[in-house]
Amino acid sequence: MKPKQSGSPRTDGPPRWASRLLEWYCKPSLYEDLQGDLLEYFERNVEKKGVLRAKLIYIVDVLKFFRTYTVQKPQIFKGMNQFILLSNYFKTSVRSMARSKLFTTINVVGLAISMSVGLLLIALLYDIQKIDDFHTNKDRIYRIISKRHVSNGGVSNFATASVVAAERVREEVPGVEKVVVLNGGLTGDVSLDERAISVGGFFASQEFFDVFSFDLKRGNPGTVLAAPNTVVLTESTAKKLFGDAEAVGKTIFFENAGRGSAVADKSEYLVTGIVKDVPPNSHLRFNLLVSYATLEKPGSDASKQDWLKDMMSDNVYVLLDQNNSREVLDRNLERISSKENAAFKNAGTTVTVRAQAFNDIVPGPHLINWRGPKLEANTVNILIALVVVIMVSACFNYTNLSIARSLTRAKEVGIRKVVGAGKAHIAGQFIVEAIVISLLSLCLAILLFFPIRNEFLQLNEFASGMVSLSPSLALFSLFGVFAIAIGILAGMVPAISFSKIKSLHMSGRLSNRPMKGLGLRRTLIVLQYAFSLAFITAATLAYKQFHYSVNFDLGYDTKNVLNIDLQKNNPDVVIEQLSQLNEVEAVAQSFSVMSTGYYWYTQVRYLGDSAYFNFNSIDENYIPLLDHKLLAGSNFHHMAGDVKTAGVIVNSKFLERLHLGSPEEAIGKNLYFSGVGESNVREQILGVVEDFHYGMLDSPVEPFVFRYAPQNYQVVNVKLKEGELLAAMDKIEKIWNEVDPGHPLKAEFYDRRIEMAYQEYLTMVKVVGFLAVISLSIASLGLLGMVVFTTESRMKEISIRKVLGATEGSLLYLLSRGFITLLLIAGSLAVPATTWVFEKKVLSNVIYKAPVGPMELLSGGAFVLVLALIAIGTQTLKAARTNPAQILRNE
Amino acid sequence: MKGTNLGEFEELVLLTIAALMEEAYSVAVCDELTKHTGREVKLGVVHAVLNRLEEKGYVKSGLGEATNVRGGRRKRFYTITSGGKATLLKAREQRDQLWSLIPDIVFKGI
Repeated sequence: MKPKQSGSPRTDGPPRWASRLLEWYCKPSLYEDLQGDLLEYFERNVEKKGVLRAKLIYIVDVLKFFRTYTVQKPQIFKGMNQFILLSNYFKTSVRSMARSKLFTTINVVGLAISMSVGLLLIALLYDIQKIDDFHTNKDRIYRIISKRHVSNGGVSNFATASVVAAERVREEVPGVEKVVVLNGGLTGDVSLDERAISVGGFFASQEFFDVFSFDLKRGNPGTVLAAPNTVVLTESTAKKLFGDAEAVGKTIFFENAGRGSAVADKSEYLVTGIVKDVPPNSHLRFNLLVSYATLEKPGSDASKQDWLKDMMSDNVYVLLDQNNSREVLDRNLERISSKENAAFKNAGTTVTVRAQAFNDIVPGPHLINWRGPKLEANTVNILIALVVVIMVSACFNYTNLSIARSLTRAKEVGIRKVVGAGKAHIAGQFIVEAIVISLLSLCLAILLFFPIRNEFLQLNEFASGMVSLSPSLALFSLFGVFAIAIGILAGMVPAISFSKIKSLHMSGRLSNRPMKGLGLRRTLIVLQYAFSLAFITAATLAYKQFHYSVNFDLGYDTKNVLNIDLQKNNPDVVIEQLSQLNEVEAVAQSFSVMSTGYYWYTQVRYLGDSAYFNFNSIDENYIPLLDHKLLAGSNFHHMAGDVKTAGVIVNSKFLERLHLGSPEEAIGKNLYFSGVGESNVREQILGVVEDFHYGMLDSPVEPFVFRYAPQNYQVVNVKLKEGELLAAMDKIEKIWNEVDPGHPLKAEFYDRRIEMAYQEYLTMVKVVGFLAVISLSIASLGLLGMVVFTTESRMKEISIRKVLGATEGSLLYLLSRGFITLLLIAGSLAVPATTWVFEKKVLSNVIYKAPVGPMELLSGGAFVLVLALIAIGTQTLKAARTNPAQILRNE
Repeated sequence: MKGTNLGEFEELVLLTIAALMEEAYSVAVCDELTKHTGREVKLGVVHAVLNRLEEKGYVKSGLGEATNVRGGRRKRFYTITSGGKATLLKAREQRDQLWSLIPDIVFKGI
């Protein structure tokens, strides 16, 4: 009747999880025979119906036995037991930590260093999720952004969109509740009586306060920005101007310095409202708003609307109504884009508009023409990835060291098991230990967090004033949760591997057994060093690229050239005063500072061909001052007053683009310009200069045109004599203060300005360099711990070798050989990989890349190797020098 | 305790236990019942009934020796108590009485 077989083979046993489930829910008093019955049935079924069906039946049976009489009651006491044991775990943890101070220190310091970066990231993410969260409509607001395709294949993304798009969305798209248009070119001085203060903000259409939730203290939200020449001031601006007096209803003067020609100088404005100061977590920053209607007054240049040309000036935000989803908006924007592009067949240039969710603005993609604070989503993602790498690396360390110490702890675990601890108890103990270490590290990490935070806030790319990383209770509780999570993560592997140790294997002879899991630990060390080397290499490469970019031969000479922002002063007065200085070699004027990442376009037509070109307006002294080389023709000649057609000077690429032939042939040919405030202006080619870099190094040399336009000059370029820069600066500042006492001097050396333009590389050097330091210290600590452990566990072997005649040198070689091989493997993995990633990904759109030689790459590796050798050398030397008699006397 | 009455299946199980004497454990009871009733008896049902019978005091149980079948798990053997025996007898008596009341004519011709 009963099957007479001697137990089923292990592999074909019933599913283990099902048995565990049974064990978990079943009353202990019923469990054993129930389990036995099921097994008996299982064995029978295996014979009759095959293994697969038997397993299935087993599972079904286990589930079917879940009945009121089999299920054990939730046992409060069992939980209490664990809880009581917690204090015991804690006690043992502290004791074992105190027993091995070196390991504890290495663990705590290593975790703390990496945790400080983790804390920084948490603080940053905490602040980021609060950006713009005060807008009640934030889920329904979208910004319309543009993508411009130029015929030669260039694609650029703009944060702005044409007013035409705004108008059409307002009129045609169903489900759009409000559209608000902001023009960001608003900076200048407001004045009342003789008080003047500098302000910045937007020209905003009247829907502004309906769409955004800025707190309007005085005035009617619907109408404050309705009429032309009305302004809304922030509380602090109003206080500066009016003190405590009533501001609403008063008239102030405003002089717009940005985009000069748009609004007449020094107009009168009526204050119609007072808004609470903009909170720092807003991506829209202003201290005054001028009604958009001011721009739209007849005669001002926004009244002519152009799909292509106007796309760079306005930020358009759309508020959808409650029921409408984004899809309708998207579809309509697509339709509008294709219609408008069809209407404007413009040298192959097309502009496509699309919606961007309000939450995606900051952090968001990189967009041109956004003047407010930015935080690129990519930057944040890269940061998260780096921090994760570092945290994982630190957890590796903990795991690594704990497993290395398993020999010492194995006896303790064995005794616990013999006394009756289950797997869960052992695992619990090691996890508690890891959490204790992790909480200790947290204390240290919080101390480290504050200096790192200050450094971090100085990096523009991340902060821009939107994140303060200021400590708060919520933040600190997040830190606590983080530390516990890290503790659990770090303690997981040791806990599991310890809990699996069989108590039978715990006897003393274990210590002579070759270590298990050596491969894993080797891999961990290789990984850690590979990451450190990768960071070091990346930092080196970024610095190299920065150095290369700053010293790049642009095709003209920027040495000792000081650029002074005219700030609306009369250039003639400034120049006259400056030329009298001994230290000044030459003075010129121009519209913009080139090669620093700012681009100005104008449309040029030659015969039937037309295209957009970068331009700069300069005077006759500019070309000699900056040492541009004339290939043919002549420089500008001095002309007074409002000159319209003084000719243009172009570069060689320009000739190629419009097929103008050789430089000599091009001289005297007529071009037609259409730009801001002009259309079809005829200009003759006066001269041709050698090609030079107008853009930054991420773009190739492009066609360029110099124009002569005295009414446009905003910068005075001063060439100073070598060696007298400081003295000259003092004198220039003095002159400036006489000319314009109201505004401080804004002057910067050209070279410095170019350095600023490539600041992103320096930031990268800083950030990645910092990460390199951190990961290197973690790796070094880990290596140190490993070396200490290996040498200690091989003390007997070393002593015997010494007795048999090994020299210190040979012992050193024996002990450090393995580690050095690991480092070399790490190096040969990391350095080529990083170089490749850097060249192909980070600098993928940079045209001019710094050449990378083996020296740069190897120097970082060599440094790491030396560091590691010190760690290995000191420990192994110590071991090699011990007197063998001391170790072996007990044998 | 709700009623000292035996259900039909309970009675069958109790009878089987009594019949199997020392060898009565869940799987054996199951097999025996299947053999004699010809209907498929599920282990879960038998287990539940055994449990209930023990609660009612009609059987008592004890774990046997470990063997190397059943993954080394011990069997729980059930033996019938005197209470159980009394109940069985009573049930049989009731039945016999009822049988005796039936006139022969009823079953005539079957």
